[in-house]
Amino acid sequence: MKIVISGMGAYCALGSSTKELWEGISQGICGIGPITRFDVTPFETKLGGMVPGGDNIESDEKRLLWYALEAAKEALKNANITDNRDVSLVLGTSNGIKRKKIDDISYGLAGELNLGGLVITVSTACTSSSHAIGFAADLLRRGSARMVLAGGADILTRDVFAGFYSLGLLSKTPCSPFSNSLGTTLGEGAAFLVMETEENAIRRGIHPQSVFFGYGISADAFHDTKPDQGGSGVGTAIKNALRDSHLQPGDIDYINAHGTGTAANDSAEWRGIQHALTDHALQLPVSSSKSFFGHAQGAAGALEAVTTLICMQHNVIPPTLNYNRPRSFSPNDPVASGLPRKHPVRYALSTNSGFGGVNSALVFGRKEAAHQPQKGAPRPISIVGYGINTDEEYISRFVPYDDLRSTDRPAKLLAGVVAMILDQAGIPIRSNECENIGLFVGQDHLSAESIDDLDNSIKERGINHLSAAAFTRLVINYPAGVSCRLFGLKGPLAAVAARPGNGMTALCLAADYLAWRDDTEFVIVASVDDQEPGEGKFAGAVGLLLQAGDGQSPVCLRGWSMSRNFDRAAEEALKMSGRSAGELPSSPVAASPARPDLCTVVDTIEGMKNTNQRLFHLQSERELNYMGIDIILERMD
Amino acid sequence: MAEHELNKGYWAIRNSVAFEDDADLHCLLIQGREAFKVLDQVCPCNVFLQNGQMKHTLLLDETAVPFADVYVCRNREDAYLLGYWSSSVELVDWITRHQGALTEYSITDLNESHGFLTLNGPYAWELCANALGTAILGMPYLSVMPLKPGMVFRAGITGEYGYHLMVPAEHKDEWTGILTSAGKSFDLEVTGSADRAQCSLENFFFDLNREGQYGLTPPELQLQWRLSRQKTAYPGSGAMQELREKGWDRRVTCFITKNPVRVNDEVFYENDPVGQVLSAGYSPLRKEYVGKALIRKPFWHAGLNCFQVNCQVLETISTPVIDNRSIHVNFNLDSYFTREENEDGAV
Amino acid sequence: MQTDLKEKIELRESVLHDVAEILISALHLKIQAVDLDPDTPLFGTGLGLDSVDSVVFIVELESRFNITISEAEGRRALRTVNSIIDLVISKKQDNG
Repeated sequence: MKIVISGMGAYCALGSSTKELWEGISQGICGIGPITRFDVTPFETKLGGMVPGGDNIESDEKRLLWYALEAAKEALKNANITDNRDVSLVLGTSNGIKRKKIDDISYGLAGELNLGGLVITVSTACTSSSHAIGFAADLLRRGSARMVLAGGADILTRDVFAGFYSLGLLSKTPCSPFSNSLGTTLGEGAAFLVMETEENAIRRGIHPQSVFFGYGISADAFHDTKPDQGGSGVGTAIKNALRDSHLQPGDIDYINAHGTGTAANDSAEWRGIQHALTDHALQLPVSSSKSFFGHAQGAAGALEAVTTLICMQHNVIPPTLNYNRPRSFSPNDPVASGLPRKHPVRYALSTNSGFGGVNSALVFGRKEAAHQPQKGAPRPISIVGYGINTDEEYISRFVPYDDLRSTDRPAKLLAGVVAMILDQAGIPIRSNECENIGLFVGQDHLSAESIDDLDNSIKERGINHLSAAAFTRLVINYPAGVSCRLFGLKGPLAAVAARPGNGMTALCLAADYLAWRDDTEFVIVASVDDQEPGEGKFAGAVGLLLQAGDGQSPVCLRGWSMSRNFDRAAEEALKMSGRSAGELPSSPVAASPARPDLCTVVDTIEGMKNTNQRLFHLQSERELNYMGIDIILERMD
Repeated sequence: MAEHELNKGYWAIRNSVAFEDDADLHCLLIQGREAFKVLDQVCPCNVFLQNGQMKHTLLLDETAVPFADVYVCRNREDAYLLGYWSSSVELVDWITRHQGALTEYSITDLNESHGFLTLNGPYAWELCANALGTAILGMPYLSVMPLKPGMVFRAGITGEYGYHLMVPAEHKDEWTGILTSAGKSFDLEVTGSADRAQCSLENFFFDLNREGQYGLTPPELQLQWRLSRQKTAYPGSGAMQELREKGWDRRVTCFITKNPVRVNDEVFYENDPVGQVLSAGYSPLRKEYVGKALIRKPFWHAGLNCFQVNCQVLETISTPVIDNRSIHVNFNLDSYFTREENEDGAV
Repeated sequence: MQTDLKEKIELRESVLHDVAEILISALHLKIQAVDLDPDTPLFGTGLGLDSVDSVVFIVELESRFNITISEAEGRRALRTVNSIIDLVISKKQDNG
């Protein structure tokens, strides 16, 4: 099965369409300029990759929706889609809107476009939209969606600008990745791909030229903001992407790097690229498109993917702008020509990295490129650990105070449940085994305390002296990143949100990953909620440890499915487990402020010991505007 | 060692790169399921290390006096104790006696099969990248990584970039050749322990053979940071607890003075003895003498220029006493080959 | 003891105490002031502060002591607790 890209849309500093994006790229125009949207007087840096006309939109909420909507509409139009009922959405955003649920933007967009498919939000900082593209491909491969609008959006706000500034990450001049001036330039925007199977595209009468081959994701397990300087996380993401694509290092003809321009990112990324592609890396052109439109945060992955694809369609590769002298130990060929270079590309790699030590790599190619079929049969999945943690201090039994010093409550709650599960499964913390464990977390809000810390610091000290420590905690994947660091988990890292249940959504995506890929042996699936404990409200983390293979434990995950068509969700899950519709009664799983969905899953597994029933069909509560999620558990002993 | 010879090695450590066949450095490898539990029993610091991480600590006797100056290191599931102590046989015996009832571990003395080649200097990283590959540039300070012939530990006690390359004994000569040959374009000097000791004095590193010989405890040595405040059970913890309750009234403090001083010279405030010199050496960078003195409370602060030793002015000073060039060198932008000359002719 | 010396000692002890308070309250170090040796290194080793801590620390120092610390000054001074004390004292003296 080939996954093709039948439409693209972009909205960024270079303009309001892919046409304007291409015009900017092809003429070597830098879209970075002075920021006028908010007061930059307190800062020595004044630049951003701002969307033209973005200042005129009256609120952050409307601005974010506008960018996403325009980019999405362009992509759907280019894909010749007029009826959106069969379109699902996987949207990546790093910040969303402050103090709102991270997936509000996705439901807003889905509502505006009348999307009839799944709606899933990914929030893994600066890899959000590249993760989104990867997960979209998985949905298509599994038949969970027919067409997917995959990408992301983020706006640049004063708080985010000030946060990056406080960490010393911003450049006073337009960023020049891999060149002799250090620092990045923040940007904003939105970009989407319409992805579908080639078969579906042909059936619709269109013949896309661009193909998505595979993706890889990983965790550094090093630091909350700085990348692992050895580049091993980037290297793993690239290797996993090649493996998913059935390609070798020598097949890659071009890399569109994350290339933010900071000292820490660029050097680590180059080391990671060399680690994964060995000698072949030395001959490869590696450029960074952030030099054109800045660092669009959660939208960066999709925007840079669109840039790569548009250039491939024109048989060129984009340059790195603003380039002066090479930085030591940087790519041999950063494409420092100022203008795109004619360069045939069979396969291109697009890499991104983000706060919390998350990494992603996407592989795209041309239609003519050879393609290997995906795996025939899924690996079975056992559930080898589970737990619920509502005690913030539980983690202190496993980890010394110094390593928890600057974390917040959600991070501690999640770390506690991960420690509990690893302990249950007999896996020592930071062991070699932990390097092969991934973590998928369902979460839709940040810690209110951390947001308050940031706001209070601004009130007390001024915007240019805000709390850098609080700022680093304000990405949805922060708790997940902390757990990876504490336990040495270096497998795939993801943070997702979807209604009606973040946890069960994370479970389905993780199960797809584990069953259909072979780069990871274990994935921890968790959800974390940090509401103020009060009447009827849950503050805690719930987790499950999934292991590939049968017989690892008495409890197996036999089937799972997500669909807007509730009957279909149930049927597909039952079919996976070898059962038919109606054969097995279902039990409802409510996801509420009082009890997250994964709690019911854990309760069911725990309850299996006390009943003769062997099969359990858990079904998310059917709410009209959201998807149905069904899972089948089986007791094997 | 003649002063001009000391100076060449010293200047190489401070300005370019110095090479040392480091006979003082010891290393034990602890393996097995309980390897880190063993270290947790005997070390006063927490040993919750990330893969590749090193932590500087001490091993204490029952009176809380350090007898080993060590780094605990993690490479995947293996633990290393790297550092300075007098006898590995005695140390292994001590560990065995203090680790409780643990059995699933083994200890190997790596000095029996390996040697240490150390590179110190503000451009040591660049030489290492040229000779060993650029992966070494990804190593943060206090980290360990398997690399080419063996392992490399990024640490050092000079205040400059420092890399200890642990190589199998049979390859030591070969790697000495490779590094010194690569070092030619870096004006590399081969140094000994005296150059290293002078630099470590300027950066206030603890030296077991100097101030470590006076039976002083971590608070007196200004080494409380090497101990975890949260850990309560390790050899010497009882004595540390008593010391915290009782308090202490003297502290090793750094000083400068224009004239030579000797170990055990008394330090006076007006006519009152307030301390004694524990170590001293000439600082070519400062062009004066730097040392450590054990000074009693309340005189034990830095920044006081009212003392005398041998009727000459002695001034206490904050550490480090020099502005290490390594602090200002940036891997991304700098190179030995594009550095600026400074006025002293020390390049 | 001469008054001049007494005042210098009191000043150092007072600044040390304030710096310890910042490390405990703003950086959440679980120590007592008496645990903080003045020549303790701040970054990489010693207290083991990282790059995010350094930003928070500088903001707190500037606010507590009403001084401004440039990037170059920070790089030189952020070595040990004593080097911070030196910087604060010299800045206070400059400010009069």
